[in-house]
Amino acid sequence: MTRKGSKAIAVAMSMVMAFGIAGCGESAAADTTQSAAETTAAESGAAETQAAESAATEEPVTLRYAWWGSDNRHEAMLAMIEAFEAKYPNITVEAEYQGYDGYYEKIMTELSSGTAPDVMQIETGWIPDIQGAGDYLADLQTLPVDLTTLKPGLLDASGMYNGEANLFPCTVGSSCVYVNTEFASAHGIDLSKVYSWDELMELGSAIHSENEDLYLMTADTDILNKLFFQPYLVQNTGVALIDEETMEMTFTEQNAADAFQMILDMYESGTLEPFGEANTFAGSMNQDQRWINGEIGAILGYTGNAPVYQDSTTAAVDVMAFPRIENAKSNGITYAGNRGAAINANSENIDTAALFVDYMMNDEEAISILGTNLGFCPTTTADKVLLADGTVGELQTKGIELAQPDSYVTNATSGNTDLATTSKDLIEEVVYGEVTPEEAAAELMEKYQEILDLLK
Amino acid sequence: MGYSKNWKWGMIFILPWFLGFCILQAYPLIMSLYYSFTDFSILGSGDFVGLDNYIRLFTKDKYFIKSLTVTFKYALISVPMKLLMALIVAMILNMKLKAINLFRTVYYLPSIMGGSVAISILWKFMFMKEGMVNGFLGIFGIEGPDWLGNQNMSLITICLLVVWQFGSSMVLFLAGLQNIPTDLYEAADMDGAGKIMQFFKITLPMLTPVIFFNLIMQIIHALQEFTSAAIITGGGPNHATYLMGVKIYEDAFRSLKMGYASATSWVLFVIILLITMLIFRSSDAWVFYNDGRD
Amino acid sequence: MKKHMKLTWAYIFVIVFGLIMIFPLIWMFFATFKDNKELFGSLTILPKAFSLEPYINGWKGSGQFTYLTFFANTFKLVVPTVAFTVLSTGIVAYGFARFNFPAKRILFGLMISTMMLPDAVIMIPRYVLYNKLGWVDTYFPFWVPGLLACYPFLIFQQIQFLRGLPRELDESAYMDGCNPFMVYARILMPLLKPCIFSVIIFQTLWRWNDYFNNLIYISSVKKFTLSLALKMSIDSQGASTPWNQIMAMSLLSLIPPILLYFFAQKYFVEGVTAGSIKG
Repeated sequence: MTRKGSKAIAVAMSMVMAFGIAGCGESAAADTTQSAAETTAAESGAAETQAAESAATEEPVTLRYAWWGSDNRHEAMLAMIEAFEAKYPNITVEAEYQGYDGYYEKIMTELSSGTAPDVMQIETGWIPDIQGAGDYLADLQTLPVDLTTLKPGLLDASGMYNGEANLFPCTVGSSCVYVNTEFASAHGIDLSKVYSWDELMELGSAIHSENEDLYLMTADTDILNKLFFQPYLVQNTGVALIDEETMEMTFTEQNAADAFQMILDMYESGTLEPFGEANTFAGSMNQDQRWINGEIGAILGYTGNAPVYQDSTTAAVDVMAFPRIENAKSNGITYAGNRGAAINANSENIDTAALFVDYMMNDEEAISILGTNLGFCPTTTADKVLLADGTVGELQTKGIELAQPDSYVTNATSGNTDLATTSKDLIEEVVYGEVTPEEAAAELMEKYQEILDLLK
Repeated sequence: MGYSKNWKWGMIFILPWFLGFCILQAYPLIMSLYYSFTDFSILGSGDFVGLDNYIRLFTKDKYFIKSLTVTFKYALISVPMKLLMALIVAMILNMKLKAINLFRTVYYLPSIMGGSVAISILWKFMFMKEGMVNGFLGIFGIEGPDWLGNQNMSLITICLLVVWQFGSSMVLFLAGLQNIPTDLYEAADMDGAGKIMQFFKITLPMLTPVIFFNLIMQIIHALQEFTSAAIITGGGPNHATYLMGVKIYEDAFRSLKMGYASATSWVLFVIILLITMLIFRSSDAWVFYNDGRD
Repeated sequence: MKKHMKLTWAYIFVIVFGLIMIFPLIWMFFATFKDNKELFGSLTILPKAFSLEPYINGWKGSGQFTYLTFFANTFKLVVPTVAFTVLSTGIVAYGFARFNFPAKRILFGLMISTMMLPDAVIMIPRYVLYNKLGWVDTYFPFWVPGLLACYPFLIFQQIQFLRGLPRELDESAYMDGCNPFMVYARILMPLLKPCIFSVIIFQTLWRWNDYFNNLIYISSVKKFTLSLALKMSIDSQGASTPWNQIMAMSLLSLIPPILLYFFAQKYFVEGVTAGSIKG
């Protein structure tokens, strides 16, 4: 009996040992491949210019490409990858796709451990976090990627950081007002008019006092910050919130106080659906029951979200111009790409990665396969291909056309996460009446300054 | 105190855990402690900043104390409610009822569903201003509150969610009830002790190891709770459900202040450790073990 | 008579509360037949029409793999992990509960305290470590911690139940010539059945529903588990989500754990009463 027992333990122990050893063996092997790969990368760096041609004939290469999206995007991307692999039979592209949730966390983790994919879809707003911490993303200007096809100004607005082109924007967009057309005709909203914030409030107040269940608009904290608060400030100044040269705020405390006051008035006049009720749907305002049932007339949103709002309510949805202050110096919204493809600076096959990005963004075949599933026409080539075959959504096009002429160019610092968190926190405090707009403005200036001092 | 006769066997038995601790767990723990003294941002290597993170936490971060308060409130409300609920239901489901297997399964369903997307949508539907719960209250002429949007209600709503998922505690109580030898009850019956008397004299004392376990675990979990607030309210409105777990996660992965989040975590660690030690100390007085030790 | 009344009350209680408990599942079932507008726009529980389409389309998944792959992967991840966990945590719990060895209190304290640090801050260094071991994009980050008893919750739980068993049991087994391992395998483990089955259920559920670890460690879509698959087509940023398909697949994904629980629970009530505990 005794012997049997100890035998069992011996077996268990040896299993444990075996595992330990197996683990070590594997890691050693992984190290070797990595260092070998580094050497290759260094060599290929020298022969960069011929890479595009040689990639087509060389030995097998495997690329990892990560993106987030919905089923439509997944299917279009996979089809595009298939076409790419058919064109370059020696290249295999491993697709790593998922939903939006968790993608950021995953990419950050992978970047930090050197396990990130060769090519990845990222948001423009992430670049300062990533590149600020180290040289993680390749400069596309040094790689065989044709950046000249991008629409004028788009690369500067969305792809450049510290003089490097870290991102090939895969979409272009702006912000607009989504309107429920039935609500609009019932309550006299003039879709062709450019409303001022005050006029919106007058209208909203009239609608709500007529019928308590109705509100002109709704918003969560993020929308309040990005599409009420910030545009309001920029309409006053005409420039990005932070001047990157001096690292100072471009707006005054009075501007901020006015912006907070405007948001507060929106609630007090009954223009916006009460914050608590709206915030239940934070992050997906299209799920707001009132909006779905036509009890809310309009939502400020991004042009890229057109399909979401279009599908969410039974009435037809149209877009109208962004509200503005009188004598605005700009319409306060950006015309840029908030998403794009980036190449891992430590990629073992950086030139093949560049070849792939160039194919995805500039090849007419790829563009017509992808349609608008990857994004909205960032390049002139895409315009040519997609406008010709009519794949481009009407609503989105209209939204962008309305926004573009008077838009402004923002910068990386103005999009800093800490700044955004600060203003969001303060907006909520104002809405809940914990601080007055003036107090909030004072605190905002102080906090912003602190963050900016740290960034310097 | 002397070691038991076969103490070497004991050490062999715990070896899997010990190896696991040394190989898999120790390094991440030590690193997070190290990060707490740096400005590590996940991507950057992180410079040593001494006690800066800790000082900032207590002097400059106005949401730290708020978050701590919310977390304690949450634990104080949810843990007793959950344990009481689990115990009562376990007692009832331990009775010899028809279709008892079905009932036991049904009562575990909410726990099986965990923190899925279905739960987050459903919960919003139940508790939004014009939602099902208020519709139900409306039948009786009660105007329900804005469960999720009102600062004073949203934490309660989150508590309701986790109390409703009392399944794991219930399972442990059910298992614990099976470990009570039936002859104890038979003897009590012969002595003429009533059911209530039996509950307090036999069931409760015999269950104390499980109650103790559930209490410790639920407190440890409650003080780190993240999922319920993250999927339902995202910590809002106006930080009313800003649990420590949410704060730490947001600092770590949203603002990429992993060093700062680590410091917050270690403060939380010390708090949890102190509370746990307190309960362990108190256990001598109220936990009854059958193994004739301690 | 009195007993009868009590039973009636018990039935009323379990049925009324049972309805509240089962409500989400019923709601979810009907939600699988609603389009987004109906799902979010109205509070009615019954859908306007029934169709199997969400199940058929949902099962196809997005892109290259169907849910067959995702179910198979989930089993591949969960089953070994649970098996390893049950064996390893049981024996460790036995070591802690029944033996007194040097530094035991410290080691026990160390074990419990590993639960007290939020996962969010351990995630990154753990990833670094597992990456060095070459485990990224494999299931080793799930299997090995199971094998090495890295689940203090389950160890502590079994310690508590072991301490509810009288030591006389061990003593008499020693008299019969058992060694310490045999005492556990032959005498104590059978008596711990209710506890061990709850370990199986807890660990299965945790691994089944675990999202974050799967997200971090699994990159290849061909290795995706259900928890990843269910979220892989939700792009809250720009496209409308087919919620009915997601609900349908969520519902299917719940079936194995529900079945497991349903069939395992009879062991909760098959306790020591049947065995010989009167030491």
